[in-house]
Amino acid sequence: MNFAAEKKLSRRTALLGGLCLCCVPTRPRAEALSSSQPAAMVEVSPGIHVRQGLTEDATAGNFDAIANLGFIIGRDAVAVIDPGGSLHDGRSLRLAIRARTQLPIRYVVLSHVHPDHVFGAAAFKDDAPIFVGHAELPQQLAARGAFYRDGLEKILGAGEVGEVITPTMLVARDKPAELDLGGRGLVLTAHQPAHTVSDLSVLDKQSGILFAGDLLFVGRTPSLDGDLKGWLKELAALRDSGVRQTVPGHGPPLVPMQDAVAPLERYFTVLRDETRAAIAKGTPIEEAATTLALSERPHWAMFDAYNGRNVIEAYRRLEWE
Amino acid sequence: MKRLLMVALLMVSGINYAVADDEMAEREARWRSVATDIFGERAIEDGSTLLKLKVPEQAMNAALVPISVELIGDRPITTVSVVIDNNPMPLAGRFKLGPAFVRDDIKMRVRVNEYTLIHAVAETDDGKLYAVSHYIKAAGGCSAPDARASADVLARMGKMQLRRERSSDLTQVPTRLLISHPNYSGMQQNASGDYTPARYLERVSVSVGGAKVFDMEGGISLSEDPSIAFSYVPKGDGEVEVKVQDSSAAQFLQHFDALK
Repeated sequence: MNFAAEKKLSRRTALLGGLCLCCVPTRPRAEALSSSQPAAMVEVSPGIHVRQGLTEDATAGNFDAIANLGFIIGRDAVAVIDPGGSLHDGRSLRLAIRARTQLPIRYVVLSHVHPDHVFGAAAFKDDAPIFVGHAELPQQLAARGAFYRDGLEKILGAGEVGEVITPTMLVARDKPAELDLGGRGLVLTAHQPAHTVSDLSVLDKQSGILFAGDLLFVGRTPSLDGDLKGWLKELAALRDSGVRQTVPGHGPPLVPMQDAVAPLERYFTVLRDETRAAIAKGTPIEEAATTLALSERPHWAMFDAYNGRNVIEAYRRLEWE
Repeated sequence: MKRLLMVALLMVSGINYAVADDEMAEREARWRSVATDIFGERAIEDGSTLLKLKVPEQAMNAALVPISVELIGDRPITTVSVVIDNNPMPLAGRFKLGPAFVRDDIKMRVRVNEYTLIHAVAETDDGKLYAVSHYIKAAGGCSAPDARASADVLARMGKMQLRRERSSDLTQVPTRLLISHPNYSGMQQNASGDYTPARYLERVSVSVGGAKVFDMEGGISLSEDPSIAFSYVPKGDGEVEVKVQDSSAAQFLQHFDALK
């Protein structure tokens, strides 16, 4: 075994959009591509299927299958809401769809720019769907896609990460759009800068269930890559939206809206207030990163991996507010 | 069994030593080449009695790594340089210290592009160089897309803040200078997929009541919205003047009243 080579690989650490792609060496690839199995889905409501992501960071062993993915089956067609974090992840979602329906996959919705949500898109290319995203998403992918892809390839191996696919149907912030799956309408809302600047949510009118993307993290520490104050505003809007059940970007497949929103509002309020106080007091950013918002630690998985970064992100912006 | 275990341990440690030696040699060679570029062929001695360098073991955000250089002892130091060996432009900052500089910490936020040694180098008044170093695990800091979410942050380019602490010691003012500037590295892609041309802080000069605190030569290794912390010797009512010039020859000038 070549220890030097393995060390080189394992030395890579990349921060991808606030998501840690940690230092796990790539595993032998021989079995990887051939082993796509249908993803394990939960039918949270008739025709709405969700694959729960792992509470882990991307590793070669998990194919970046860390985000919640879903699809909705209408009378005439299927819509995918987040195609997955890698080619493998996208393929297994596609197999899960085909195990349930042969209807055309007409839409693939990309909820935002982060790698764990978009790099499975290429697995759906042959279906020739319409790729849908926030109006800001093409620019975001142009600026970050190659950077994310390089980082993820170092972990998963070349060829495992799908190409960057740019959406062609865009949703503007002030103009919600609607998709029709045949007697089943989906309302797409492009949000203000919050988790990222490209957050898009999908409401299934029939069930009233909202696919919130990473506007909602349940159980897993959220990663801040957009606008802390903006995110708090979007959370308040979700809380008051009348939507009762939601599929979060990370966490259980379906949760009551209030259960998802309340802990996030509490965490971000603590983060904002303690960061402001630290800036006012002159607490250095490196000290803030390890000392702020620690009262939240018992409430979140992977807290130590993300809270410090969230503090840094909040700090660097709030010092210019 | 016990013997087998021993052999295994020896093998493992043997291999580890080999890796460590390789790496050490690689780091040393890189440092020699970088140091020659920056300081010429001058000898550089161990600086652990003059400088203390604080760097996180592992960065939380490679595009914003807070580091600090503490000046210790009492040998007169004229210049402090921070070098990030494996960055494409290794010299992160070279501070020529003036009479109003208080011999204490210099703190800054830097980008780290790959696992690397960071060096702090002091030049003493007799022209000798002394260095200390620290290894850091971080990657991607120079090519990380710029974090600015909206256009209003570009509008504040060149704006500055001087955050000063009121301490009981009237002979020095702990200060943090914040400069709003994207400090484009040239390695960041923009919304059209092109690389945004490098545009970074070349020079930052701080003086108080006409006395120099420092002149700093910058580079792409400084983070977006650079932050530099230091302490200065107040000069009565003398205001603090900060002059900044970036690599596109844009100049920014700001005055701050003496701390009352």
